[in-house]
Amino acid sequence: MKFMMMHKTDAYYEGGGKPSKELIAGVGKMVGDAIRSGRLLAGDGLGPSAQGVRLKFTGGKRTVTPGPLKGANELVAGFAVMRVRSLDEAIDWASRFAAVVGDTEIDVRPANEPWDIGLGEKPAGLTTRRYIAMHKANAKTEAGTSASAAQMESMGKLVEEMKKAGVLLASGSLEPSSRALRLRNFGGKQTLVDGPFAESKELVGGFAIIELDSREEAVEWARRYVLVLGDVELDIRPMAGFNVFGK
Amino acid sequence: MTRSATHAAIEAVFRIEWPKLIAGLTRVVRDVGVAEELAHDALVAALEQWPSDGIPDKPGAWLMQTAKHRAIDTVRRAKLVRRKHEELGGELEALGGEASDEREAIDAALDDQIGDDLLSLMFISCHPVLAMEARVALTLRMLGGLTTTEIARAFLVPEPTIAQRIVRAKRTLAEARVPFEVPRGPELAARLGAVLEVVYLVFNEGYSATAGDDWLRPALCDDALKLARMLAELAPREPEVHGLVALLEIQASRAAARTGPDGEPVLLLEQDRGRWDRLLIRRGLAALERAEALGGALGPYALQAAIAACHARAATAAETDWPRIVALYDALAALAPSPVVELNRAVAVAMAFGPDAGLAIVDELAAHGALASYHLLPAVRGDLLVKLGRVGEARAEFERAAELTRNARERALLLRRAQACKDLVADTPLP
Repeated sequence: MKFMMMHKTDAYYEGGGKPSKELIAGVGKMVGDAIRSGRLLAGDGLGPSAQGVRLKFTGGKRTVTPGPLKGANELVAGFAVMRVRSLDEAIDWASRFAAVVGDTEIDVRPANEPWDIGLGEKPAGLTTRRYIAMHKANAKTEAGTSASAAQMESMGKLVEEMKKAGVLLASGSLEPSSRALRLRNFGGKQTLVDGPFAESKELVGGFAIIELDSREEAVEWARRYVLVLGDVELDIRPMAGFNVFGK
Repeated sequence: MTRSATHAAIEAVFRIEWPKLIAGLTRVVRDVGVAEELAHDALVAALEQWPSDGIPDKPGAWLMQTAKHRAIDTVRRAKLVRRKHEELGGELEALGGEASDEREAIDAALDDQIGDDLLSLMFISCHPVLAMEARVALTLRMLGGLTTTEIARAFLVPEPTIAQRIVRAKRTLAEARVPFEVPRGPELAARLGAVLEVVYLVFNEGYSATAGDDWLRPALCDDALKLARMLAELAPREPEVHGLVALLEIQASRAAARTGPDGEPVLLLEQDRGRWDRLLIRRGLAALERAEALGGALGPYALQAAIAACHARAATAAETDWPRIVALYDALAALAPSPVVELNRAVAVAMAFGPDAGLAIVDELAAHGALASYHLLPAVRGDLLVKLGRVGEARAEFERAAELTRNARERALLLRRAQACKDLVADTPLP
């Protein structure tokens, strides 16, 4: 079973704050453990929402809200990691995705690279940036309704095109939040809540995808993760699918 | 938290912590059997205390600490006994002074180099002094964290058999005084080979079950993959480790496509490639790149991975780069000659240069008699004969193959192919 551990951001990181040395070391150790046990599949931190946009599609009409974004409906249903030359290009691809799925809301935010958080130099000559597009849950995704055959076909074509263009690096879809768990760690106290999560107001800060044998194991990894992260809300989302296409 | 939820959580903690716990403790007490007992004691303590006290913030550290205390007791008791024997009741008070130093030394030993400990544990679990079956059972128990029940179920053997195997393996290791360390120099290559062999065997047992009703036992494949990835993380400079990871990832990527709706096997070239797991392929190709980047000629695992990669890269069976596969099999046959490799080479040659060329190699193998009881020899021969239109002979080969296999699913497939040949013969009008 694949699980997405999705942690929420806060005012400090939204304001462009960098993670502390201790946090980087703690996360590094955690990631090392996860890699060593053969379980970590992927992971990324997101840049502040000020560097992203929110796209809303209603009846074929697109509304673009530039960041910083205010948390409203932050439950994620699926995501794609893209390598593009600009935010505008990422918006274009996200709009192509919306044209297939219909009414939806998509946040597009940059993925943190090591040099964004003060580790190492940005490689000379790198003209692209990774962006993560997250489409939000709605009644349909929460009910677990699968896409129509026509949608599947159009989506397949879009994915092929994005792969050929070298844009699509990875994509994933999440099970409805009724199968999810939420772990809150505040003031040294952990509380675990079962889904569904109708009200999700916290913006996503980053995620890790781990392959595990059971929900209990996922909770255990989550508990360790929040100890490293500090005061945080973390969603444990079973994944319906996950694909990696490029680096 | 309810009682059962706590138990589930404890089990989850144990799955995560078990290998590290065993590895760290073995380093201190120098005996994998004693280490297992200590880890087990820590589990019992957790089961007693956590349901009422709650799960500690750092459960891994708690378990290690608890096991450490018991380790100290054990070491001290062993010392005490030894001293009693040696000195007949002298200087007991000296122990009191030593205690804190001892504790610090053990603390330091446990906190240091968990990676090396895990690697050492792999090397002793797969030590050549043990029989292959014992290595497999011990590795799955100590590093895979499987219970004897789970191992017994996976290998379709009675539980007491597995328990016995593990007990004997631990005794053998203790008696042979196998050092708990990562071998160096020329010994490393041979010992690493033994570790890789165990992991590959576990995978194969899951991937193509030699006995039983099911063709695939995915849990064993997953366990082998985890072990292989763990090994790659611990020994990142060994190209063959990455070669094995690549081979397993790519083979595992086909798992969903290898069985049809009724659980029957689907052969590689007939599989729906859309059902191959792209994530695993990606990981496999990346591991192969790492093996190649480390330089030198590719070893047997990396070569097999390179062959698997040829299939993974082909969008359809028709696009397979058969000449390259033949070249890779040539290299593999030169490096690790075996009749099974030769049989596979025959299949590739047939695809690249026509069934006649392949059949010539198979006939030579058959004449040699080395694979007389291997079901895939007649199965391949039957396949090539069908392509050459010699269906009567092909049918006899499929029937022979069906007799030889021990796997029920595979037998059914082979018998179906024999029947298809029979139907073909019946349909052909007499001249």
